[in-house]
Amino acid sequence: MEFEDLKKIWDTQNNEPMYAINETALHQRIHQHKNKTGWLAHVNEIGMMFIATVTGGFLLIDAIRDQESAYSYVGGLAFLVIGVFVFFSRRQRKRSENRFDQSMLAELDQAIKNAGYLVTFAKTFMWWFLLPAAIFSFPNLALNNASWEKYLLVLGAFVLSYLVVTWELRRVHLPRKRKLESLRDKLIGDREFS
Amino acid sequence: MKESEQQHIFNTWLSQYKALLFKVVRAYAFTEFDRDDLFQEITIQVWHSIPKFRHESAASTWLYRVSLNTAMRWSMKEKKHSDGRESIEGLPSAHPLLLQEQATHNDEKLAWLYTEIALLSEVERSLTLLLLDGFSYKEMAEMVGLTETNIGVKIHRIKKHLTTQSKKYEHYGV
Repeated sequence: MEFEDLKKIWDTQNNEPMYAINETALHQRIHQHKNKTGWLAHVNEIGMMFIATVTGGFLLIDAIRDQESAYSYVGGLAFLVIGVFVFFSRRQRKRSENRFDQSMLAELDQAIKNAGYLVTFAKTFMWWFLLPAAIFSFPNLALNNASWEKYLLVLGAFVLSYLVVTWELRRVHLPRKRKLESLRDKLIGDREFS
Repeated sequence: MKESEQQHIFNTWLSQYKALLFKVVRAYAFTEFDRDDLFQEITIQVWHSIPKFRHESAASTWLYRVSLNTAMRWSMKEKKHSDGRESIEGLPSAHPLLLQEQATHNDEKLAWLYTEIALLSEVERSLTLLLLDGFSYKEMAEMVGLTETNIGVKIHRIKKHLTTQSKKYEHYGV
């Protein structure tokens, strides 16, 4: 067969629809998804902004009211700065997401950029949130003569957070980024048929 | 954009271009469950794309771009699940299926062509669908984001491959 014959075979399906759509079920599913889409992607940012701002606010209020040590002032400010940083990063990401792109390659590039952002975000969380939080928490515990149970509890929370973020990074964000990059390579590259 | 307006455009597109969406679904998903899942994913992406549509291209071009992009990414993430999913096919689902295959639509040659398309890579499948639906190299280049020359090279190889396979198909009279 020549290619024109293949095209004729292809065009036969235009005469009659291949499937019947259950429109009620479709509209229900779209309705369920349309308000939910994006929520999972944003939950990390919103959660981190909320935790950083509230923690920073409490630490600063405490420090001012009780004339606490410099640790509390610096810790509170550090958390607020992290909250502001996340806010601006998120705003920048949302702007780039809403940009109108014409081609599939441009959209794929945007998806890779977003996946890269989530990788950076997870790493930022570990080094610029967990680590400073740990650094400021332990001296405060020492200054307040906290019991060993409290030390264990705080340490456990940090270790757990670290493990969850590392897992998410290795199992979700990095593989997704690699797959998108591989798809991009396929889109750009040429291959010979055997 | 008002939701009612978005809903109206969505319904119009679905009614006018469902055949286009079905082609993409059939080229990328191979079980009843997967076809349903991909069709849902595509329609959700189409819904979200409506406010971004600027009438700079035909609706069919826009829909092809959205659905092929969605299918390529869906295909990429679905590979690891396909075995598990196939095993649950046939069991009653919590959700009613979105797509019901039409019994009258059973063309052997078309089925063979879809099988050949399925053997291509995700990207080649997209280009093949566009080619078979009569898009020009220029339109394909704009849609995909590559140069016309690059598209030309890929298309030449795909055409050659498909015609070679068709000769085998005819020869063995499958």
